[in-house]
Amino acid sequence: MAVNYQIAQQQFAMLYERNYQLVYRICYTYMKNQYDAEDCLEDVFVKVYTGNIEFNDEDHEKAWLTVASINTCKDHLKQFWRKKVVGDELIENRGVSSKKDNYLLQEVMALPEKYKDVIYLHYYLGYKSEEIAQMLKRTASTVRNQLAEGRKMLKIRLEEIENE
Amino acid sequence: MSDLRDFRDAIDSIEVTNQQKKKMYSNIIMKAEQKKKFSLPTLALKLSPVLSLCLIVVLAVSLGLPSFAGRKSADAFSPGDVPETIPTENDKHAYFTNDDLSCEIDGVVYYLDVHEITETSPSAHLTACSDGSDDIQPITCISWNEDNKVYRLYTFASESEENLWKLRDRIVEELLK
Repeated sequence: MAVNYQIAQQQFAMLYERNYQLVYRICYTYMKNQYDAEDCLEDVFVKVYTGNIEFNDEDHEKAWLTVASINTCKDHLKQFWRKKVVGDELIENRGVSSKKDNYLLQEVMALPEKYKDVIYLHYYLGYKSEEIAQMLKRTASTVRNQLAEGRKMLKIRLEEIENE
Repeated sequence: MSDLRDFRDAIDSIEVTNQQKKKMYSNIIMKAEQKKKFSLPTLALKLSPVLSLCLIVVLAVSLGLPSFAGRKSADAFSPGDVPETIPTENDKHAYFTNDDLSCEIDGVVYYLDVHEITETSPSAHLTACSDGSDDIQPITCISWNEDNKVYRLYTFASESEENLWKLRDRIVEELLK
């Protein structure tokens, strides 16, 4: 029993090592601050640890963690006692190097959730529309429309910033 | 859109320090262990003696309550309540007299029994009744509470309860005018 527990702990530690950055970046994008991002990350990995989840392969693991992170962040954001946090100064603190990157990240984070999800999954994690549709339980055509709408909103917003 | 390819660089620039990583990991283990400690099966096992005792108390109280019931509430009677004593062919405890509230509608005789609800008489006890003849029909009875009284309407005819409810207002008005 003790040996099984140690192996389970070791496997969990390896899983954490593989994925903590991915999960943190997703959580940070949604929560917009370090502390909430850490809380969400911890909740995601607690689910893995206590849920006895078995992954088929690393792709499955990554997809599961991605969706779990997004859903955990959304749950946290729904909590009524949450204070709204302004993202500007917090993004700067995260060492986002160029001004352009800063604006881009800011604007993506400011997108409505449904567009933010698909933009993140497609442009950052490289998932295709069909894969995103499966993960988020939407249709592929909805995902493609949301990607197009998200891009359009970003384009308008970034052009406004450039003209300022 | 080329800007969105730069998006990847922007996200990649979000870094986690070593210290953060270790701190988060130890928090995860601590939270997970706490969650296991307070999980439902574990809690149930720990609380089972207490829960069993509570269950026994609740059962004892609920089984004991009816015999100490005082006045019944207005909602105590529900449509189609069966009378406490159901007369049989041989049951002749009481008889209707001409003073009893009764009326005939379309050839069927209906009787109305009315009792005050008091502390000492918690419910209207339906005394066995018959029409005095040897030919006693099955009784259909409905009862309800109103204005601190218990009303029972019944007939010796083979009437359905549903029909009796439909006729209720008409009969009551007829008998109490």
